[in-house]
Amino acid sequence: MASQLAPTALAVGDQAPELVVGPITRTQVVRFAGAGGDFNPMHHDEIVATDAGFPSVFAHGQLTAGLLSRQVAGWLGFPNVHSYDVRFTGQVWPGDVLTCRGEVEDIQDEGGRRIARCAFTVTRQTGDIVVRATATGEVA
Amino acid sequence: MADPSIIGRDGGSADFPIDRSKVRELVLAIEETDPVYTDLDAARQAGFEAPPAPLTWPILIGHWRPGRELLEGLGLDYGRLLNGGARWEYVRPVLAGEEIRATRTVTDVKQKDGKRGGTMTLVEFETVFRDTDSEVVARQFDTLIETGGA
Repeated sequence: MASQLAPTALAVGDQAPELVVGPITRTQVVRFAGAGGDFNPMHHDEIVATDAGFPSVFAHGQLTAGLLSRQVAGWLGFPNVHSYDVRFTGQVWPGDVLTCRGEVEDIQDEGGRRIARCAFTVTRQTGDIVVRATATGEVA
Repeated sequence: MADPSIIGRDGGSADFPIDRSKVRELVLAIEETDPVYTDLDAARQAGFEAPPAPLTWPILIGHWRPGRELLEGLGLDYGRLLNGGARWEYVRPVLAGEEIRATRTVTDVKQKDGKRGGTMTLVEFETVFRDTDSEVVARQFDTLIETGGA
C-alpha cells in the first residue's frame, strides 16, 4: 500500500511536540465506552464507582492510550509505526488535564531501514504519570 | 483462581468489522483531528483506498468478543480484574470497511505476591488479528491482573 506519509527524520534525543489534552470529561469517557464496547460501570456509573470506594468514575486506560496514540501517529506517521506498548500506571479522573511527551531513545539499522524506539509518558496535572508507553517505527 | 491449566484456551476470539462509523466514533472519543481517519479524499491523498483506523483500533473488538462469562469460565473473578496495558505489533494499517478475524489465546498464568498481602494472578493473552485473506495484520499482547482477595 503506497503511503504518502514518509518516515519522519529523527535522531536520538529528539522530542515529540508536546500534546496537552483535557480537561477529560465524563461525556468523553462515555463516548469511548460506546466506541469500544467497554461498559464496565466504574467508567460511567457514578453510584457504582463511589459505592466501590472511588471518588468518582474514572477513564478507561485504553482511552488514555488512544489519546497518546495521536501523538505517536502524528509524530512518526501512522503507517510507519511497528509497535505500540502501553502500561497503565495510574487512574485518570474527570477534570484531569493530561500532558503527552515522547522522546527517541534508540535508533537501530535493520536491513537498511532506521528503526527508532521512542518512550512516551502521559502525566496528570498533579505530576502523576498515568501511562508509560513505548513505540517503535521506521524513521528517516 | 485461574491456574496454568487454562494456558492454550480461548481467551475471547471474535470476528468483527472495522466499519466507518466505529472508526469515526473512536476518532471522536480520542479527539483526533487528522482528517485522514474520517475523510475519504484525505485518505486517498495519503495513498489509501479508504480511511485508516487509528492505532488503537483493536479495542473495537469490545462489542463482539465474549466478556465476563468467558473470563469467569477461565476461573477469573471478574470483579477483581485490572487491565495493566497492552502491546500491539502492526503489520499494516487497517482500513475502514475491512473485516477482522481475531483469535485470542491464554499464553501464560503467573502468581505473584501482592504488595498488600494476598496473591495476584497474572493471565497473559495473545490475540492475532487477520484480514479476509487470512494474512496477519496485527498482534496484541496483554495481561489481566486478578488482584488478591479482599
